Amino acid sequence: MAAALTGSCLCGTVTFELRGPFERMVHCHCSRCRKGTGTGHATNLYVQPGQLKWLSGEDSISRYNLPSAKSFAKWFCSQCGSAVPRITRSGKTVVVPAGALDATPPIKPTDHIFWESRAPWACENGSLPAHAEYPKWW
Amino acid sequence: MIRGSCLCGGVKFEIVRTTGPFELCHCNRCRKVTGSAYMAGLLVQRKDFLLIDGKHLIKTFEAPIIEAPPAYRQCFCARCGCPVPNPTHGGSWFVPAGLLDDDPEVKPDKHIYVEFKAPWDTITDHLPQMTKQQIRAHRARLSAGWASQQVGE
Repeated sequence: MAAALTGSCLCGTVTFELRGPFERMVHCHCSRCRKGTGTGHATNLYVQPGQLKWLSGEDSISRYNLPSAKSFAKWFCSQCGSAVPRITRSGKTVVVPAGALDATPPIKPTDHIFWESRAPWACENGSLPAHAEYPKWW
Repeated sequence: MIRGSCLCGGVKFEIVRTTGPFELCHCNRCRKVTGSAYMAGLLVQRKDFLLIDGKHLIKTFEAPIIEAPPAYRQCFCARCGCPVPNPTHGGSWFVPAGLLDDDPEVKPDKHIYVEFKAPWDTITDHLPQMTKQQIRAHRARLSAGWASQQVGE
């Protein structure tokens, strides 16, 4: 089994631990992820809720549900604004912003998703497959 | 005119013009703030930036100083958490390019702090890559009005 991964926000208030397995990691170029991150794309690691454990600062997490979306939301540290893992509204998945990790995951991003929505200034997709929206296997 | 806004629409701004630079910063702090591989920052001059709405939503966090001032400053929308520009500081600042609603018609021109990039990140484009030392020297030359802007000089 993969070793646990730790993560934290910029100010250190929110810390968390993830247990394996780690099987899905992608770059998302949708407009919501671009706004939510402020950058070209999100890089997300996906796990089940039972794999996430908050170590500190859970009370400092702000949760914003985008009203126009069925699922999209942003969870962030209310002190420093850093992106932190969020449990989807369905409760089925945890979306972990890879930039919050303090340890190296045993996998790397495998795909670009929502590539059709990418920023006009987006970089090349490199060698990774690029999907207009979700891949068929999602 | 380039418009921009955060996820909830509370913070809205306009940029009259920008010629860049447009930098992709891979430092640990930018990666934590964004949750991604890098922060895409487009430099805008104060005179070319207009905050339309949301001043009351902008919250600022200043990280502890590691080497020397100024502190790493992170501004974000208190409602939706998006990184946002804050026009109360300095004569120019980097706007998080993910917030732009219009095409800025400029493209990123370099990767910076590349020695700190995430272990899971691979830079596949052919843009110049600069270390912390290199970008600092580069900016110092620009500030001094040097003509040469060669990478790695």
